Amino acid sequence: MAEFPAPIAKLIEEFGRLPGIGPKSAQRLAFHVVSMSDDDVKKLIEALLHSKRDLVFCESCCCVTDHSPCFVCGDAERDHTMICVVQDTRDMLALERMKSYRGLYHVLGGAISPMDGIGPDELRLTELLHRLADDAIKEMILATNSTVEGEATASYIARLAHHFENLAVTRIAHGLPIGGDLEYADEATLARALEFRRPI
Amino acid sequence: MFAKLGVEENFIQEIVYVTKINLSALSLIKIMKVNRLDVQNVRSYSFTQVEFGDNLNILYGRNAQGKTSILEALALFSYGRSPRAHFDREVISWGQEESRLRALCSGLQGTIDLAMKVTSKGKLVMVNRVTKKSLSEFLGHFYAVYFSPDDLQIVKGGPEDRRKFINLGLSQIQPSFLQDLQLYNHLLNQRNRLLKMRQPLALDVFDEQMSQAGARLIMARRQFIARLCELSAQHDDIISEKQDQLKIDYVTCTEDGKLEEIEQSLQDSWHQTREKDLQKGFTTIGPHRDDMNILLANQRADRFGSQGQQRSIVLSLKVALVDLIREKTGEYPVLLLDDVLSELDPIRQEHLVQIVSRTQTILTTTHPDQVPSTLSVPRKVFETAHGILSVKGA
Ligand SMILES: [Zn+2]
Repeated sequence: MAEFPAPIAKLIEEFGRLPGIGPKSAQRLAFHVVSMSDDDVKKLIEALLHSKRDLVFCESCCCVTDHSPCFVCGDAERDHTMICVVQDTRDMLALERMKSYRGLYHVLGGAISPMDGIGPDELRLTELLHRLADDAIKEMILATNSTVEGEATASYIARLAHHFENLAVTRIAHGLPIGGDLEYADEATLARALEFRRPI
Repeated sequence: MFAKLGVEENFIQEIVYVTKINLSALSLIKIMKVNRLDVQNVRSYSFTQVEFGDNLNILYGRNAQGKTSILEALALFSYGRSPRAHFDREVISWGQEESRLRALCSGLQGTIDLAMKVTSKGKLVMVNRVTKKSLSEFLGHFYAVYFSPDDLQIVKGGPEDRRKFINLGLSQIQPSFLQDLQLYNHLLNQRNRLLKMRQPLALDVFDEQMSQAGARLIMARRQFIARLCELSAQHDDIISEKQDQLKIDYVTCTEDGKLEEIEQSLQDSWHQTREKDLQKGFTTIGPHRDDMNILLANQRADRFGSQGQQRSIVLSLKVALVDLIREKTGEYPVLLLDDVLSELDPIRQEHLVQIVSRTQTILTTTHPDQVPSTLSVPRKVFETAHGILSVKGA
């Protein structure tokens, strides 16, 4: 088979490093970029650069946001006695879309998965414990995914939280499919999961 | 017409036998069958389609001509993995990217269309043209018992060979077992990495989940082995002398008990061995180290049994597995015999012949004359040569 010209080979290689992109998709994307107008390519480059330059982590909940504190943490109308712990910002946004939860969030940045090199120290747990130490927080809802890793992370945090006597700790009910990601659950399922949370 | 009659006759005999045990099963005992197999890029076959006969199917040809590949392909549908390969990708023909297989089967659940695509990255499985997310949803549609000379390892080999026998047997009759096994192995990998990271509090939460999956594995294996042992005793003429009683003991790390008791016991064991595990960097105790002790006249068959006795034990286990599948599912599994007839003496051949006459059987042999003449059921004969399979007679 003939080799790809070097600039395309480089582009294929870069696309191939993205999650969920196999060799064939990478080739398709690369050839698509080549066929785009100069203007569209510029827009794409701008978008990529902006996303990296203009996004920060919220100083309070650790979500990915364009300004810190984020739109949730900065909203005085929200219930600041409740904190919902999720794996990543996408999970937080999925819960926000259903518009029934009025408390705060804490974004861990993943779940404990030693095989992927993620131990407890790699998650935003110190930040979480600092927030819990604040007496204002009365309830913590553990809304990590229902995967093995999500469950282990929830139990781990529940154990850490034993020290806070006045804190109620609950786990969202798993009407969620086993092994399911919050991000993909439909809104009705999510609402039920949150409503029927149980003590842990 | 004649072929049909043969099956009906056996079917009625079977009902008479079963009536003594369970009246409600009367109308339920059926024979699992594979009617057609299509394979593409599987080992030496670029493409082949086989229409099987209802009773005995004989595939003959010289060695390395692709006889066994057909049995292996069929076993993939019942076990979910190849019984002869370490990795499923080994079945992909040389230089090809993927294998495609399809089997049309019939049984209690009616006609079922099973399909599988094997790539170097994994498998895609379909039932009645619907893609299934997990292997446990795929298994339990086609029951088969595969028997090859390599099965001698069940007696002679290491604990992993015996665990493989137990795991493959249980996975097809109890798909939730496979789910638990995959879950347990996943947790075990996580735990072993965690041991290297030295995170005791995180270990606790993984131990908890792992003990739940582990306890379910132990319960299922204990029942499976106990029943297999009982069923093999019903065929004690396979093992020649009467005093040579076959006994199979389950070897695991916990005492028998209720599910919660086993869970607790597993957690306690892991707590006790934690220091050692942290030093070694892996989990030294648990159902992943399970084994079974095979005893003949109270002596370990792997050490003291003769080659002939060991072969008889394997036959006895396979026959018991056929019975167990029939008992659990109400269907006789398809028998896949890979060149085993020639290895057995006439008495044991005869025993196998009796079972063959009740099931659909697909057997391989280097020469069709090696099939015993006592095997009088209708047969369909195929010849394999250079990756091509042709019908030689029915
Ligand atoms: Zn925030």
